[in-house]
Amino acid sequence: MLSFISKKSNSIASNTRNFLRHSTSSQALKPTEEVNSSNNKPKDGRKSYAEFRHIYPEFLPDPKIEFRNSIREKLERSDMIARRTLIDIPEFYVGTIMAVTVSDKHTPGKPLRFVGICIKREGCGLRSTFILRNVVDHQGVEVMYELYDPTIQKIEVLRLEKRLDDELLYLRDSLSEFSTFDSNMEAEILAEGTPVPVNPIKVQLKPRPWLERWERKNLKGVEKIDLPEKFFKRAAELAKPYEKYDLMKQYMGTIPEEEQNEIFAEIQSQLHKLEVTRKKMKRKRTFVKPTKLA
Amino acid sequence: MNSKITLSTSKMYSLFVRSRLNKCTNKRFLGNLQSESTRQNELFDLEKKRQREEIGRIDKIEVEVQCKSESKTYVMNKLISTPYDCARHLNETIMNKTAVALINGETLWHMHKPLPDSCKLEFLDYKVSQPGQVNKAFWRTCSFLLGAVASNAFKDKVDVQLHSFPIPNVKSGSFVYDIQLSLDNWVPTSSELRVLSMEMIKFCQQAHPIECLDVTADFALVLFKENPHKTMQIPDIAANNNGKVTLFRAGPNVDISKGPMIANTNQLGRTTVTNVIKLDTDIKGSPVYRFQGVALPSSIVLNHFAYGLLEERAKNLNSARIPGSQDVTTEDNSFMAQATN
Amino acid sequence: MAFILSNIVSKTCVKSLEDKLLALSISASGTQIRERHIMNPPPRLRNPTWFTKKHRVVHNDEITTDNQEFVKEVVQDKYSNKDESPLLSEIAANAAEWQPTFKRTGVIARKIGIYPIWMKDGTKMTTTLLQVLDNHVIKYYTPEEYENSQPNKTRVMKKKGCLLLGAEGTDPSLLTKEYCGLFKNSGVIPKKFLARFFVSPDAALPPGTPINALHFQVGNFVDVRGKTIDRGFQGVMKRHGFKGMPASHGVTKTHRRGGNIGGGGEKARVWPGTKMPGHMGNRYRVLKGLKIWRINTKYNVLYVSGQNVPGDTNSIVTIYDTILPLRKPSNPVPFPTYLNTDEIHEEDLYDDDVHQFCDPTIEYNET
Repeated sequence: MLSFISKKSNSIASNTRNFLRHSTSSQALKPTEEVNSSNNKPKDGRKSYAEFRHIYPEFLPDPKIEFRNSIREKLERSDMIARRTLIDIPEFYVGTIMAVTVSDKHTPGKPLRFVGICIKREGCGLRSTFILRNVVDHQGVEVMYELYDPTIQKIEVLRLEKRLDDELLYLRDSLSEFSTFDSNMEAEILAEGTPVPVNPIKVQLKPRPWLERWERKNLKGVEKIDLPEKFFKRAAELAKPYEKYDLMKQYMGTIPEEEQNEIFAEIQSQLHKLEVTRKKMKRKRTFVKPTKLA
Repeated sequence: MNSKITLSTSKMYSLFVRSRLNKCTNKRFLGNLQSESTRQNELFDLEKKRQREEIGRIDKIEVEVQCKSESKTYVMNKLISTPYDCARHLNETIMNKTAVALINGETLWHMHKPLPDSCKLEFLDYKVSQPGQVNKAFWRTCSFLLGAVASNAFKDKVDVQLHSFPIPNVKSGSFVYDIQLSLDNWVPTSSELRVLSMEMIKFCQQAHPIECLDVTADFALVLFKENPHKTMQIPDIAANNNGKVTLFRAGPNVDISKGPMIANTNQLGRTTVTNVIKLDTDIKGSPVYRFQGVALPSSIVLNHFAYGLLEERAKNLNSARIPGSQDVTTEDNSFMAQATN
Repeated sequence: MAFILSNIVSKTCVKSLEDKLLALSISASGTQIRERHIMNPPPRLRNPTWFTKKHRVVHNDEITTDNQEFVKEVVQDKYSNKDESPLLSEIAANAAEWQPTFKRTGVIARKIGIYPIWMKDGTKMTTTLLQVLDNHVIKYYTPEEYENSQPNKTRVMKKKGCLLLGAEGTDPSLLTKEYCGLFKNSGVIPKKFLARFFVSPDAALPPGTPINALHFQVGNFVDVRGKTIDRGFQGVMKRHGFKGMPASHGVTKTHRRGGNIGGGGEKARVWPGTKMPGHMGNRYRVLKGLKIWRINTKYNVLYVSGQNVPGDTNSIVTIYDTILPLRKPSNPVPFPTYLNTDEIHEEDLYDDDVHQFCDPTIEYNET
């Protein structure tokens, strides 16, 4: 069993974070950012909601202009906050290990609990979803949950961390040990104010055939892919290295900062209240030092 | 024998004029407004010709035209050339767009009035930075044209006698003409007002140049002998104005006014006759009605909603002085008007 | 006609009207005028009275900023909602009792987006949000008055009256004077969108009546009519749902084509109406029997089931009470429309089956 040690390596992480943010829909490019999980208060004078867009990415609407309508977005946000007052939907990223408890209509009175690593996070507003993956009894299982589904009883974050990629769909083609997590895993609590750790682990892929052509995807969290030259040549031909310089594409694919600030300004007081109640709950639990797994 | 043949040119013309005058009075054109205006027109033309012939030797004057930044000097004819002629030398746009001319930087001058001496000339259009004077001239012209249109618009059985119009006051919201109609208690319907407005617009679109003529009080009395109100006003007007009466003509209509009018009727853009209100006066005979309207120059563009607000405001009775039977001077021609300008 | 005209003209004093009548009478007295024969005469359009030129070319008006603000103030003062409650209470007093056979007005709304809601048993339902704009009644045409531009060939027994509704007020200076004139009698601000609704004469409303989302109730069924998304020139697979041909296995040059277009024999021709590629979308379509699950009274939004309401987001749709017989309401509905402005409602009205977001998590208990 490989050990998964989450390191706090900020310097390397900050550089890689720039490229990661480029491909996600709701994140804007910023040269240096310190992501603070618990410090959500807007600063005095110039209000910057830089942290909000990473912690609450589903509050930002779909950037496609044809779909946008301010009144619908407002109604959606109020519904989202109404749900959040009942359930604590924590901050999580792709790569965090989470446990979701759901009430099932086919087993009344007995809620179902599933533990897994978040491999993808999609959607805006009430339709936002995330996929958890785990290997149970040598069988890979993936479950997609909607964040605002009222049948979800609890969402716990067992280990808050990030990976080097935005989507971990390649875990489907990797060795099963990289996707296996203990169902009875205990939550690892980080001290307040610490930045979200980035796990620089390199996953080993199984030999081809794969579900996707991983050699063309520029994956950071994957060990050196062992394939004949021609695959990499073709990948180089199809590569679009200029895309990261395409400012218009990035602009059209994200919500501009001014609008983001407006949106978060509307809801920040309510979110702050939720944060305060969550902190109170956290303090009640005892601090557990993260242990090394054999 | 020789004395009979060799009459001086001026005497011949005066004889000719007098014979024509007699002819006109004998023919009895009364009761028909069209023939009345034909008579007036003929008289006006004759007088104009006579005045032109009176100028024996044509002297030359130097006119310095100030056009934006540069100034050009033209050699024009004394008492014959008008500012309009100077504009024609300059530019077609200026010729069409100018409303009034400014002489030596102080006196407003009608575009078709001959220049008496060498002077500095400036052309004023509607978009000048200080358009107050131009607006007044425009308002005055609108009143004059309203009177002209009203006199032609009514059926033959209605007797129309133009009384006067007051000093142009743009801020009051409407231009006014007081007219005596042989109708008791006439309240115009909206369609009638619309028709009057259309008549005015049609008349203006015919692009009549507005001509100017200074005449003696006698001649003016002959011209306006059918109109009892004007006949009363003329002696006082002449007394205030060195025995001269200024006449203006647009198309077939002639009227008296003091100040300069705009150059051409086609400079009127949107025009509406908004209301006709019966006045409470002590003038004998048929009741006097106040015709009110509002207009904009053609160079000024305004949307229909804002113009609608102007029309609504112009429907209210204008606060200008109501004419009485003792009033002999129209405010436009009075001493006060001359003083204040 | 001539008698009436001459009457009018004799009462006026204006000469030009008299001249016009003379001209008319001369032409009607017997001289024949032979017209040119036109091969394809222009269509004799019988459009409704409100089909006028709407937008005018906006020039740069040379008004000072003070005057511009003044005009705006005038617009606001003129069209502010003043003294509406006496009007509404009057209508309410005179209103007839609702009968199931009565047909009441619809409403003009805007499709603002899509959003999921969950039921109390945990099932998810995608709903479309339709925001009811500021509707006002512009005019009512009685059944005798209204002439349909495409009249029914058979005789209609119970003819309906026509209510003209307008939605979304705009600046009158951007519209033509003719179009603004449509709104003079009702005293409402000129509206961007107009729609007609056929109503039974009992459901007639006076001009100027406002209509909002509470015209409908939660749990009612509605029909929504909108203009479908313009998809342009589309092939036969997207347009008619043909299956096409396999992508490989030796298929030559025919993967998305229509295949055979007709048989042989006596009628050996392509039948009119054969499904072929062509323009798809940008047509009016009605989606029937949509249930209203939730109403937001603050923003006048109806949450209606289904995500396939015709039209793009932010496009205009018209909403009617259903014509489906099995979905008609059994309880009385606000008739002729919702008139009680004094009543204060909660911000959201939900159907009984809908799980509200402020309710606790759904748990299935052993029974």
